[in-house]
Amino acid sequence: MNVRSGRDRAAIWLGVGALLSLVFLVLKRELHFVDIPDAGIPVVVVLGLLAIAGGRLANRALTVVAGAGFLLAAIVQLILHANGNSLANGSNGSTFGLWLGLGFGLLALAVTPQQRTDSPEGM
Amino acid sequence: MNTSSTMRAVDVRPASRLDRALLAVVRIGLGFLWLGGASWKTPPDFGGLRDWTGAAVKYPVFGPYSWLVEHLVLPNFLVFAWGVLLVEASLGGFLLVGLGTRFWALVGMAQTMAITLSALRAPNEWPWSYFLMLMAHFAIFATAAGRYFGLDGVLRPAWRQSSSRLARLLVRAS
Repeated sequence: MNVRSGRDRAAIWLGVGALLSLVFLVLKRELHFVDIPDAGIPVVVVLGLLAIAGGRLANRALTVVAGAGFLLAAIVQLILHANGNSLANGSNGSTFGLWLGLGFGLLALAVTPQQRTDSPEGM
Repeated sequence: MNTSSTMRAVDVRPASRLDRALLAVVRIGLGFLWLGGASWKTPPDFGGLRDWTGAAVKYPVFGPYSWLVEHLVLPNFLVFAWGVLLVEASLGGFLLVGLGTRFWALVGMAQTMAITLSALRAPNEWPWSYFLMLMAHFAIFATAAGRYFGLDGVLRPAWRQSSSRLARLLVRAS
């Protein structure tokens, strides 16, 4: 049976955070912190659910896929945005930054070697 | 020597869960602030950023910085602009998830100083907004805010047990 560690719980939280970022589709004006393009909605849903599954199943491979996916999505978004591609309509540097953070965060959780006792420092 | 006097400030855990949660709010808030900054740096021409960068020359705050902007930054504006976009987006992303927080707090201080030296004397600016930005980065650096509800707190125990160079760097960066 897989036992969930602190980093598995963190992967779940990053997945939940990714899904929660969709709230910026409806929050406007002062609380509109991040732009999510229409084409990015399925990206966020699929990769967010993958991150949650990776954490819940304590499956590092799923977490790697989710992290690499967000990193790839960030790079593709930036290239499309710079070239004025319609797929990037409604996105900008905030989209890139959010996905970059989620990508590196999930990859760090997945690839950092397990320590002997897995107790987080500051929760 | 007294053990408590040798304890570094960042090794002292905030007293309550509320204290730790408030530090996380400051860190995440700064993350969103930088994402907001990255949102209007728009490639390929970065028009708005060019105007604000020019403010360092038009409304000089510190002579040598204005000279640097005029003779080094503006002639190579696109390279500089891409750098700003990447730095501010990274600041946003890494502070949001709390990864390498102390390192990114230092980057945030440097970027805040650059913005301050460009925009402080521009019309209709509120100087305290820049001073507050700087002080907020002092706070997350001094408290190592990524250790509370952030990935630094989750991964530091593993980094500390590792002898790899990268792990040692990450211990210092977190």
